[in-house]
Amino acid sequence: MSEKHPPGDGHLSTRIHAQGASVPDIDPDALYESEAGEAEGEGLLEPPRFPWLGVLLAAVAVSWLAINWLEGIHWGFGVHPGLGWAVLGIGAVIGATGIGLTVAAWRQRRRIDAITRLNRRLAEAERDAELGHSVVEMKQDAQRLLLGNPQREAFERHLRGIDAGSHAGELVAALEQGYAPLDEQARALIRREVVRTGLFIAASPWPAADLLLVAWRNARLVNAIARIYGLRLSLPARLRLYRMILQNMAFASATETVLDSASEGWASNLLLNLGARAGQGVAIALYSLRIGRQAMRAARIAPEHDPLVDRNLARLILAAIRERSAGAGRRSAGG
Amino acid sequence: MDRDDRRASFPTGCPVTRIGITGLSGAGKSTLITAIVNHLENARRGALKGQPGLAAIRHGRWQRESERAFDYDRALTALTGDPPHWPESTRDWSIARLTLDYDRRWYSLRPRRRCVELFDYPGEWLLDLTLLDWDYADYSRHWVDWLARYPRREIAPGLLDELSAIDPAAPVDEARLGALVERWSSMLADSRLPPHRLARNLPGRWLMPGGDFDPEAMPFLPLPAMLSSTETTWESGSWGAVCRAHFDYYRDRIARPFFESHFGRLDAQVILVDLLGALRSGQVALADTRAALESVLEPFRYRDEGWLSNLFQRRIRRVAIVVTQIDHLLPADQARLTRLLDSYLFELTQQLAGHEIELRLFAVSAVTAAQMREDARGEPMLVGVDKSSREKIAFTPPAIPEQMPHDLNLVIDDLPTLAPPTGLDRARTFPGRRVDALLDFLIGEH
Repeated sequence: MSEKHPPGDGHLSTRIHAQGASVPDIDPDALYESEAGEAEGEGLLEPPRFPWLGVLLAAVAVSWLAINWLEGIHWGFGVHPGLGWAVLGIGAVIGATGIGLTVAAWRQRRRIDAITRLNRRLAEAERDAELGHSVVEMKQDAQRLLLGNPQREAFERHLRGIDAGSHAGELVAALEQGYAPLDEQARALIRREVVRTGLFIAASPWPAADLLLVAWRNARLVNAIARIYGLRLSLPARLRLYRMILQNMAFASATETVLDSASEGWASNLLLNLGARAGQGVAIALYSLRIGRQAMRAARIAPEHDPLVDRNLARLILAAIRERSAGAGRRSAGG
Repeated sequence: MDRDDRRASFPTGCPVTRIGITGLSGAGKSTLITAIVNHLENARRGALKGQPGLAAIRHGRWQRESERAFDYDRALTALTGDPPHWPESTRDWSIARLTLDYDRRWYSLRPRRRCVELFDYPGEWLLDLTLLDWDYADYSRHWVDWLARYPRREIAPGLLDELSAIDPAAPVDEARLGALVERWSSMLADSRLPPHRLARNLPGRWLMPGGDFDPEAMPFLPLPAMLSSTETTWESGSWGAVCRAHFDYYRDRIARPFFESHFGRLDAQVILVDLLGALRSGQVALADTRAALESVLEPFRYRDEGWLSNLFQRRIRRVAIVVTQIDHLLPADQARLTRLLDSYLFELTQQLAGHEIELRLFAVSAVTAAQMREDARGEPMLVGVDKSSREKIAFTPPAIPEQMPHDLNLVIDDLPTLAPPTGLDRARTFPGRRVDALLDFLIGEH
């Protein structure tokens, strides 16, 4: 009903259903509950916690290495001063490289978090029709995060018109324009990879045993999607991204459920037509599809409006698996 | 109250954030302040957990013992009573003070305690900002124009003629002045009420005098005859001289000091707009409310132009324009209301956006009074208690458009005004919508 347009004379009517005792009672607790339910967002970052255990273990490991290095230097100087200097120099180079790599790795991880934060902030700003300096700040944040993006120049071009008089919605639209070719690339990749994964399982004599291979393929898919969006993934960044994707999938959002239910009919038909093995292929393909979608969400600054991976793509992929599995089935039956 | 008194009410070293909260009468200021205090009081129970900028607040405590304190007790009594009712309108200025304790890491340099002042004052007073740039001739000119037009022409038929008949040079007739002041007051009161709900009811303190002003002691009325006369000075004791002197006194001794003493210290300003109320009345009310908002936001607009602009812009960096009572609409329309507000105030927000002010539009429900149910056909409807009849009512509000028609020709017919729900409890966060998001904008740490 909310899609109706107001009548021409500008009058919108409220429909009064009932008044007085016939109206059902209001449940005060339900008012509280509806509020509590709304507080849960989707794909939220968990509140930052200080990683005590990690820091402690790292401190122990670094101390142990440092002690060993110092002992090595001591031993080296005991044998020959040149050897002592060499151990000192090699240790310093290794240490500096280690520190450099660690800092870079953590910076990449922080970048993933920053993308998620900005994504959420933009979604809120868009909902509140925000404008003013906060929009300029968000634009600057976005520009900083897009530094490594292959489409950086295109983004800059689209973002040029955004100033303090622009709405957050315009900023999001500008980002969306920049992301359009990347989204297409990512979708094509997902389609290709997911079909392959589905067929791989459908054709495998021991699908359960191949799950490890599927996990590896999915990890590769995530990495490839991240690369498309210009993200360089260090180990901590990679782990962070995987964790976010899994968390988001575990707390599947409404759109995701719709995506699944759209594919459900197809999946059950396939199960009937093609037997259990192809059915397993389809189920795994759907799973990979969701992983791909979450990877796209996590790698983009612009919030997702329409599902990045929609029903149509899901259907195309499932149809492809069905056709090829059926073709393979017929060939093997014919042979 | 001077600055030292303010300091004395808070522990030393507690950085203070001062937020002005205003809106025309009936916009829901007292309810919003009550809901904000209630949210901060319940920070411990997770009331603010949805907002990352507020996540560090461990505990909020309302300061009862301070001068001109906002009467939180009274508002709570009203909301939690049986039957519950909305807190009474703001009639004078007051300040709700809160101390917030933050959870910090041991190495954090951020303050572990912050103080927040919510400065509540009648929005009508803000209208007096317009008066500050006017002289008595401007005042008369504007009122002659307004009284000559619909709907004020019909609210007070003949008032303009009566005022026009007065010769500014003639000596004041006290009895006639008294009678006209009475008519003037009832014209202002009727303009404010439904079905007209007009906003520009100057002078702002005529209906909301507060403790420092008595409108009947120093009345002033617009005198249309002075606009056509070439005379600019009148003998003392004449209509013209008395009204002008009273106008000048009001402008310079009542209105101006209020802004000077309070506005330079504000960090953020919340302006409540009763958009749904104006929508219930239609085109004229919408136009009048927008004009009133434009005049109250005037000082934010121009930089480096006059003392008033400097006063405002010295500190205020965040302005939130808030529409309340969104629970009277279905969820899909609640989100649309922000966009409708944006379209309604487009010109104004565009002008403000160019300056160094962060402006945000919010659609909130301070205390949710309507509950979602389904009607017999399974369609969503709202259930609540009608404020005036105190009877339960089930209704489906209309779908609102995302854009305000350019001619403001939009009316919502028969939308009930609901009473607060029963069972509100101070020890739980009042059911509401987006109060925490508003707080995050005002005091959040990002």
